[in-house]
Amino acid sequence: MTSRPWQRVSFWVILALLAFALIIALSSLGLKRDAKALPQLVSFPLLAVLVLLLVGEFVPRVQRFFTISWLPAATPGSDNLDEAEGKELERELEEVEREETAGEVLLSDIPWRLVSLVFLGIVLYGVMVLAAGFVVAGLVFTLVFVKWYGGATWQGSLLLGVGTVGVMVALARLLAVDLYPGMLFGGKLPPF
Amino acid sequence: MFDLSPVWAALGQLARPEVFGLMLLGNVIGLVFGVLPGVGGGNAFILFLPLTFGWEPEVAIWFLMGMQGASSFGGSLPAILIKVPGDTVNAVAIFDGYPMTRRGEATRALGIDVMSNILGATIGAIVVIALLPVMRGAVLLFGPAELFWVAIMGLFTIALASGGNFLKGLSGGAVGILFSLIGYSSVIGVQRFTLGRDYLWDGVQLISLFIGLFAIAQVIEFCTAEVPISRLTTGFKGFEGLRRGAVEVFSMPGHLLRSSAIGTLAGIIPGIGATASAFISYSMAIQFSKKKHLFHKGNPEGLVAANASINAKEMGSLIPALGFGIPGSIEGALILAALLFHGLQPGPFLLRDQPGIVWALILSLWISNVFGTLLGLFWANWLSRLMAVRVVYMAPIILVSSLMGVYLVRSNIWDIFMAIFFGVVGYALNKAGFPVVTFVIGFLLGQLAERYFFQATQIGLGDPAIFFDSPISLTIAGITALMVVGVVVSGVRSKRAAAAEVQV
Repeated sequence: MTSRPWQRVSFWVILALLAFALIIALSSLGLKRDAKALPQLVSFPLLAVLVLLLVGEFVPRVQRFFTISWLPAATPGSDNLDEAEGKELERELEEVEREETAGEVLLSDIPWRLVSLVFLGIVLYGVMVLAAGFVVAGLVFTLVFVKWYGGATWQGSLLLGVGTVGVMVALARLLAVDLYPGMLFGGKLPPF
Repeated sequence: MFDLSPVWAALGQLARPEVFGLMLLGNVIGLVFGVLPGVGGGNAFILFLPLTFGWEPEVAIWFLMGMQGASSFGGSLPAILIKVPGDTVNAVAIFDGYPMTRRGEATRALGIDVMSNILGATIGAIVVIALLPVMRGAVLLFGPAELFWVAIMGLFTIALASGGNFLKGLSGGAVGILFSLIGYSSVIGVQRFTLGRDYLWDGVQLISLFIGLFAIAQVIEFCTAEVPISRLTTGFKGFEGLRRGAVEVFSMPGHLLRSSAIGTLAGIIPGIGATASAFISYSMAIQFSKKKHLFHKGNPEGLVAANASINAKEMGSLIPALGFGIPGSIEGALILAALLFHGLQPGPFLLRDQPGIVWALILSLWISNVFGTLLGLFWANWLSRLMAVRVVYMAPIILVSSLMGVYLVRSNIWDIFMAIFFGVVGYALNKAGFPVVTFVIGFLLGQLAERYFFQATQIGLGDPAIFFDSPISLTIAGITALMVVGVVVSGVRSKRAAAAEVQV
């Protein structure tokens, strides 16, 4: 590994999971005996495993020790494979090895601008549903997304939006579920 | 002498044109609902159940089972074609079905899907018919301690089988368990880890978790990587690909039989859901495969294992439902609801007094599985055209319909934000090399494990020896330990072998 630990996505995800496990472990301390049994049985060993994973980010040997590869079991030429299978596996093996060596994702590999934009779009859609309901939000989101992001025509975007929302509305009617109308149209929020 | 008259009577019902027509209609509805992400066949069943009021019970059973039988195939279609499971149970079909589609082998994957569906259901039906008279005693041998070990074994198996970093697999599963413990526990009677939020009293909703981890994470991936859904249509050679895939299933009898057996057993044991059984079958397929490294990359064996298990499980769930009147799963609960709705009391008396109903249930579920799957083939070609659609057109449709599907389940608007949250979690876990599959299986098994753990400790008056008291517990615990030791040792050996090779 040539990259530094904090340059890798896995390092930050492990830290996030550590924080989550720590919150659960600490919160469970105050619970009664039956209620904390399984949370503690899971969270404390999990903390240990995550710390080991974190160490593995700095010391690659530690990580490699726990890496289970199925490749040796299927190595070409083993007794239970015929020649054709062996060749096929050899080809597949090379492909897998190429993928595995290229598998480490660095923070710099993530297209942050695009990811942020997409994530923001999804959250905005959620907020729009809260404000204006599924029908309006679904229509607007599909229209805007397909028109500007997809570069489709206005007519095509509108058709897709109406079609998508139309099917969902019909389904909701069939299920006798009222789609959330949105706070602007009298929708009430359930307790949060 | 085995009395065949109820069997002929049940088949005779199907010969009536209106019954056959209703079963096919049920198939179509099941397929349509099954295909829609986040909606699923269960909703179709609940929606159409009231319509059957006043029908003959046998006719209603053929119609409702028509839906039930077809929906799992309906759900696997989008899982294979666009990596969005129609229902939670179909998530496992993604792992190898979608990579095959990406390789341009969608029709081959669908052929495998069809045949493994049909054969899994058939094997399940045979087992159910053979076991029905004797199952009651066998199910009762599994107490809470044994069932706790079954849940633990499921988690370890999938963590080991997911390959890569074992610790990442295991920790993903453990995090999944912890998420499942959020909210009010009806078993223990306390609320935990809710951060003072009323919304979290109901815990993390399964549908939000699944739609988030799979559909939303996929939308983010679609939009950011700008990958085409498929490398397109080199694999679309009409029925040749389908035929090839269907025939290929017969070359994997071991996977087919093992997964069908696991699925049927999972159906029989109350509480092990179809999704868990599919994941366990999948992990067992990895254990027994010569091509372990090809799993998650488009290995047909994985697709066979998942689908055969799902359909066999549906058949297996009939045993506790019919024999004991207890739902072994969601599917079992729906079947029980249908029987009760029509004034029939499931349980040993049903077996004794209403053999016609029992056989109608078994045969309708099996036959509708076969018909529904074959019917789905006609849709498959049409649905496969989805892949010719640009990704940017699919993304908003998936997002809007998935989140609306999340809302439809219990009409709580906050569930869609939960799904968005898990979409980000799924995306991050994928990028960090944590297998999402172990997270999901941990979540599914978490509540089960706690229920059995609590019940076992109550029975054992707090003494942990209860978990090692019975031969069944010891056997399952031993198998779990052996799996861990065996795979880790083989991992260490392979490292040494690799090191020795480098030195040479």
